[in-house]
Amino acid sequence: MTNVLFDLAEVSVGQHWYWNLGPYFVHGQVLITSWVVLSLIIGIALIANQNLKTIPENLQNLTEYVTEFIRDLAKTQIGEKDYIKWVPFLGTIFLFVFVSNWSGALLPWRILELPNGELAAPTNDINTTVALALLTSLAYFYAGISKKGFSYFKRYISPAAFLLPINILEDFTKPLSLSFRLFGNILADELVVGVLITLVPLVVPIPIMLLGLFTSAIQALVFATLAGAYIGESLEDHH
Amino acid sequence: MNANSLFILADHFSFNTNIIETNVLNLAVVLAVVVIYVGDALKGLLANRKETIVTNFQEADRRALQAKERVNQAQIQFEEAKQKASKIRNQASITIENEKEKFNREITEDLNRLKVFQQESYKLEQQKVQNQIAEKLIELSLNQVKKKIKLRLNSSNHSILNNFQIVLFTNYKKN
Repeated sequence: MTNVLFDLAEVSVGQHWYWNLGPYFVHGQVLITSWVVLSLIIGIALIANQNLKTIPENLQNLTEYVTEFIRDLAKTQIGEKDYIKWVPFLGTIFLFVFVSNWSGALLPWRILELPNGELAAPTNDINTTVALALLTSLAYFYAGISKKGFSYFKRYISPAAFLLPINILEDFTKPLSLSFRLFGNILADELVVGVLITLVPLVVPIPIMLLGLFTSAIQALVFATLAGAYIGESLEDHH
Repeated sequence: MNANSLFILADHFSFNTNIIETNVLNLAVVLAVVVIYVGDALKGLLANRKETIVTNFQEADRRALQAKERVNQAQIQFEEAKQKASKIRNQASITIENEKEKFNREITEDLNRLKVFQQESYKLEQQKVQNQIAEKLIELSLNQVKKKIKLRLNSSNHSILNNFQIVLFTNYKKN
C-alpha cells in the first residue's frame, strides 16, 4: 500500500528537463517530442508526395484525403471567398496538434528516461499550446487588417459602441481559452492514464487510453476549427 | 529550486526496461485496436476515395469521347451543308443563265414576229390604199363613160359600136 502511495506521489506535473539557451531555459523534453512530431509529419509528406500519380495510391491517397479534409474545414469556417489562403495555416495547426496528441497517446515515450521530467505529447506543455494560440491570434489580426485595413477595428464598436470592453476582452479570451482547452485536455488524459497505471497496471487503463485517443483527435479538430472560425470572423464583411 | 542545479541533472539518461512502468503492454493493445479499427475505417475511406477518382476519370474520358464524336459529326454535317450550299449556288447560277438565255430568245422571237407583223400590216395598208384608188379610178372612168354614153347615144354610133363589137368578137373567135 505504501508502495502505491509512493508511486502516486511520483505522478507529478511540472518536472522539466531544462536546456540552457542563452539567457533562456527551455523545456528540452517538449522540444525533443516536437521534433519527433515534426519529422514524422515532414517525413510522411515527403515520402507520400515523391512519386505522384494521377490516380492516387496508398500514402498519396492518404495525404490527399487529409488535405481535402483540411480544405473542407477551412471552407466551412472561413467561407468560399478567402479560405484558400488559410488552408496552409489551418493544416499546420491541425496536423501538428493531431500528431502531437496521438504521439502522446500511442508512442511508448516512457521507455526513454530523461535526467529530469519525462517525454510526453508536445501539447502536454502549456508553452506549446500558448504558442499555437498566439499564432492563431496573430493570424486573425493579420487576416482582418490585411483585408480591411484600419476599418478592421470597427468590429470593436459593433454592433454598439458600449460593447467595446467586451470586444477587447475577446481578443484575450480567445487565445486563453484555446491554449487552456488543449493543454488541459491532453494533460488530463495523460494524468488519468498515469494514475490508473500506478493503481492497476494492466487492462483497466486501456478504455481510458482509447477514450484519450478519441478526445485528443477531437481536440485537434476543435483547435483547428476554432482557429478557422476566428480567422473567418475577422474576414467577414460588416454591413 | 535553482534552475542551474536542475540543469546539472541533465547528464544521464537511460532506458527504462520495466514493462509495467512503461505501460508498453497497454500501449500495444491500444495500438493494435487503433491499427485494426481505425486502420480499417481509414482503408475503407481511402478505397472509396480512389474509386470515386477512378470513376470520375472514366466519366471524364467518356464525356471527352462523346464530345469528340459530336464534334466529328458536326464537322461532317458542316461539310455536307457546305457542299449543298455550293451546289445550290451553282444551280442557281445555271438557272439564272438559262433564264437569261430563254428571255433573250423570246425577246428576239417577239421582235422578229413584230417586224413581220409590221411589214404585213404595212403591205396590207398599201394594198388597201391601192384598191381604194383603183376603185375610185374605175368609178370615175365608169362615170365618165356613162356620161359620154348619155351624151352621144344615137343610132349611128350605136351601129358603129355594134359593128366594132362584132369585129372584136370575130377576132376573138379567130384566136
